[in-house]
Amino acid sequence: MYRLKTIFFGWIACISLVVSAQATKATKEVLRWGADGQGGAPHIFFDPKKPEKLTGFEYEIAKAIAEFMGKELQYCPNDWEMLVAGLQRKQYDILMNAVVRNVWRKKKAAQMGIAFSKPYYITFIQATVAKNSPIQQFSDCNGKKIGILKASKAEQNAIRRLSDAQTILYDDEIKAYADLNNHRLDCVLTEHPEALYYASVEKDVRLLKEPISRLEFSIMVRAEDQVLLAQLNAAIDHLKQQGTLRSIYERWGLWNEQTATYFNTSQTPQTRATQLEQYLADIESETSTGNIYLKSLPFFTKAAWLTLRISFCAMLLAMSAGFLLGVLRTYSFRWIQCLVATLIEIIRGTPLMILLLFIFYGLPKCAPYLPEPFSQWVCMSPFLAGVLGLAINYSAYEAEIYRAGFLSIPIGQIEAARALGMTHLQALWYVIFPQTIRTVLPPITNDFIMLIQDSSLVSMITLVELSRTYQLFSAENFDYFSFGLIVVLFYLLLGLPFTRLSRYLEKKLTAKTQREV
Amino acid sequence: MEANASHQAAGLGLSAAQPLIQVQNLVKYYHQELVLDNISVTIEEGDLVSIIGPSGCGKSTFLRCLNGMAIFDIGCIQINNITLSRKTLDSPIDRDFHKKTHALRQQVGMVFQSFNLFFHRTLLQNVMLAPRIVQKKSREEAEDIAIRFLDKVGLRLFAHRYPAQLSGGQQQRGAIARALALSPKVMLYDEPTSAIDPTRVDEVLEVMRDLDHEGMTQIIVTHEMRFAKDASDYIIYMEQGKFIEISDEDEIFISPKDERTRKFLKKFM
Ligand SMILES: Nc1ncnc2c1ncn2[C@@H]1O[C@H](COP(=O)(O)OP(=O)(O)O)[C@@H](O)[C@H]1O
Ligand SMILES: [Mg+2]
Repeated sequence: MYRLKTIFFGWIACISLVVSAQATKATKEVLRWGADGQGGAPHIFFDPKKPEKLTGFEYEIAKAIAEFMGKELQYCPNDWEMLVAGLQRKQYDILMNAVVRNVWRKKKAAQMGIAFSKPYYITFIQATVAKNSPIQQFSDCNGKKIGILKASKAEQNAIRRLSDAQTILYDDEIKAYADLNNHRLDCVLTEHPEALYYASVEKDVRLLKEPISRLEFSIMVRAEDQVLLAQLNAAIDHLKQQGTLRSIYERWGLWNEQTATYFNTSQTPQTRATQLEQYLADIESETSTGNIYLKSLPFFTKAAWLTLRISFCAMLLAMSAGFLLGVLRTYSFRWIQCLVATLIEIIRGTPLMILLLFIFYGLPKCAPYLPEPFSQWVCMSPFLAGVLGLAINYSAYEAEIYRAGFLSIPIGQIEAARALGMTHLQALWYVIFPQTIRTVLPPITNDFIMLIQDSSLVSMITLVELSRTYQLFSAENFDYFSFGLIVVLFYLLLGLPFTRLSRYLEKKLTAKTQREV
Repeated sequence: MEANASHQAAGLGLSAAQPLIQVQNLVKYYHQELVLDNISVTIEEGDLVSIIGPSGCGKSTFLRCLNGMAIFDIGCIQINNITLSRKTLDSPIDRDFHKKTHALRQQVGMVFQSFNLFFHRTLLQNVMLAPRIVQKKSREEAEDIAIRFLDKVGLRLFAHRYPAQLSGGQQQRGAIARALALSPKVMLYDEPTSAIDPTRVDEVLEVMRDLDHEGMTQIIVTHEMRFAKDASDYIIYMEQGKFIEISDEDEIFISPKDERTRKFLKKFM
């Protein structure tokens, strides 16, 4: 009896502990900046030499802007394709990450409730081909295979100008350039800065001289934040006049004719492109000496802790919600049973990824239609959204495990309890539930190991957990192999104790209640 | 109120004359199938009654009606001044009825063919559970009671074993102790020895004999004809939902009045 109580209160304590560890408080006024740091060179990325340090030309600009506004810069990482959605759901206040203002139609922007600052940088689309390729200018690409990034409007528009060409979409630049090097592609179109940083890693490629299209990089904000927008414009003007922007671009090797014309200054750079040189040298040395692998370990450890916390909270919730659903599904009135069965089917039929995206990006859309406390609840933190999504998904599976457990208890057990004068509830609580817990704990613990793996999907909603950390490091250092081994090791270490626990419980819990052979 | 009070007064005053169990015109259907067909019987305090009959004739159902595990359709059951009664097929099964059923169960102990000890608890905990949560006794008191009844059925040394670690006969004696711990007025047994190794049957029957000597009222559905013959105060032969013959002690074995009883007993003798 009190063993159940101990479990119950221990459970409450665990949840509150882990959730309170999550709660953080902002002190100084912050400028929340949304960007994607994964494979983000030269815009924003983690320094290959010191992986705890952010760097990149847009990072420097963002810091300069925040300083001008007297705020503290807070970097809010998000998936590239989700950046605009994150801005809309107020995950951050500015979005500055190679946002090309002139591919957005005014009407569309107004519809989505977003607005743009003045451009802070002008660049162009760069065509990259193999060193020995016959292609000399962009129009030679007719009928060729062209690789571009997935969400790249400007490049798609450029390709449309060719009479015919085969377009192949890529997740990131590295894979596109690797395919160019392997002669799977004839040409890669990316923004000039990417080509400068990523194409140069491959030895046998050549950048075409001709600039294609004009790309105006701007900061995106929500349309209602007019004051913020004015401040941003003032900051850009100021940094332009002070020469801060120019010096940043020159150091990063990005100073070009188009920006010079826009700034009304001369085109010849005054300083060396130290950052570009440094970057290319670092990539070479850090991966070859193995230094970066050691340096990455604290990051993987931190990410593993986040993965563990999310999985743990989600599992505790799923276990309890699943129990409730299982009880209702098995022992309640007929119509409630049907309702719960339908609910379980719906949850099991919904891919976890969709559920997570729906909770994180979809729910906040109903906020304006909800009364006070609810309108805040639906805009939950990424951590809560992740825990909730995982918990809902797994509770459906746990419910079925519990149900099977309940049904496996012989009917005589309930009859005996009832004959002893117990009420139906007492019979469930003192006889059926304790027996069921014993049979279902091992499979539930097993499920927890699955949940740890599925928790990698919360990287979709801005959380930098294990799998996202893996992607970050491998994209940054062009090495999916070694970091892959590291991340697998971490997942194993997380799962192993629970595999053992499952075995142990199986032995311990059933030892005395089963006949010895 | 008044009627109730006078009824109780009569019950108290005439306690010697009032039989412990009175069943009147009991009728029970399972999906249109008549399982109990207008059964009436009176059982005095301290009687040991055996019910015999072919399988499927409704013996279990009759016992289950007596402790409210099955709800009869028409009739009246009175046990120790608790009366359950349904006048017609569509009499409502209301809160009051459920309350009385609950009260009835505290007067009636039941022992099953398959023992049904709680797997996840030791024998001692099995016996303690109902006194603790149904009768709200303290832990110490419940433990005292449990030890006393385990002693009575000869299982004191096995108190800390789990059911899986006991033989069938031991489990059944444990189940009897568990039912006795609630101090019921009546004990019902549904084929208590059918699932037990024949060599261990006697240890269970012995417990029931002891209880009979102490004056416990017991109703036993059994196929142990020898035990029925030796120990019972009287024997009921049941067939197709009816009590065909109720007769004193071994009279039924020597000269059964009914042709059907004779045919049934021939198979055993
Ligand atoms: N829960 C039930 N649902 C439907 N029919 C039942 C149920 N229990 C018993 N019966 C039917 O009632 C009849 C009497 O059963 P039972 O009392 O178990 O017989 P016995 O114990 O004498 O072998 C049988 O025909 C059986 O099929
Ligand atoms: Mg039966």
